[in-house]
Amino acid sequence: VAVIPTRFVTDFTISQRQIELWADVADDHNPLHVNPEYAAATRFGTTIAHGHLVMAHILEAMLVAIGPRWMTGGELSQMRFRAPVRSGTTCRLSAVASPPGPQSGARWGLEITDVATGTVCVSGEATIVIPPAGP
Amino acid sequence: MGHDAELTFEALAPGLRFAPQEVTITPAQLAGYAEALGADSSAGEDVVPPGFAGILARRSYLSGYRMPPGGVLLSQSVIWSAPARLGGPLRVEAGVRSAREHKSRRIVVIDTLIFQIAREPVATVETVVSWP
Repeated sequence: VAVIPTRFVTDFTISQRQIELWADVADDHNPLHVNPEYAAATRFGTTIAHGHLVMAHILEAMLVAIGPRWMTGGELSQMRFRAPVRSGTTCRLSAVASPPGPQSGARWGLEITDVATGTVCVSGEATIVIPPAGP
Repeated sequence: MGHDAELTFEALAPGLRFAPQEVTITPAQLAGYAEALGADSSAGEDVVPPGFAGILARRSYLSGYRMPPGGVLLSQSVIWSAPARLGGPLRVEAGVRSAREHKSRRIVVIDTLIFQIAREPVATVETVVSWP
C-alpha cells in the first residue's frame, strides 16, 4: 500500500506562453490573460493566469504527490482565489495534512503562495476518499 | 468570441438552467493541456485529467456568451468520482444556484455536473464568480 504523504511542497512557474496555450485549450481569450497592453492598463498591471489554470496546476501537483489514487475520487474544496497569479510568477504549493473528516480518507490544507512576495494567492482543502479495507 | 452576446447579471436568475452540452476531449486537447502545464500529465494517456473540470465548468455557462469585462473568479470546488476516458463523450449540465448582491459585489454561484454519456457521474463543480 502506497504511503500517503502528510506534507509536501512543490514549485511551478506560470509563464505568459503557458497562459496563451491554456487560453487556446480552454477557449478563454480574455484580454486580461492574453493581451499585455490591455492588462497593463488594469489594476493588475500585467496579464494574470486563468483561475482554472492555477486549479489545474494544483490538481496535477496532487496527482504527482499522491499517485493514481487521486484520480479515482477526491475533492478540492473552497479553493479561494485571494490574489491574482501574474504572468511569470513562481508559485509554491504547500500541502499539510489536516485531521480526517467524516468520511474515511485523507485531507490536506493547501496554499499557493507567490515565492517572490510571500503573498497567498489561493487557499483551500484537498480530500481523497479511501474505501474501507475488504474482508 | 467577439460576436457572442454578453451574459448579464440580470439574466442570471436563480434556478436558470443553461443548455446542456456534449463534449469530447481529444488527444490534441490533452496534449495542449499538458503543454500549458509545462509537463506531461500524470493522469495517463487515455484518461481526462481532473483539471479539465474547470474548463468544462466555465464553458457550461459561457458557451455562446461572454462575461462582461471585470468578472473575477472568487472560488471553486471540484469533486470527482471517476476518471473519464479520453475520447468518450461527456455531458455537461449547469445551472445558477444563487445570484445576489453583497457589499457592492454581485455574487453568482453556478453548479456544473459532468457525466459520462451513460450518465455515470464524473465530476461536480461549484463556481463562485463576482459578476460585473
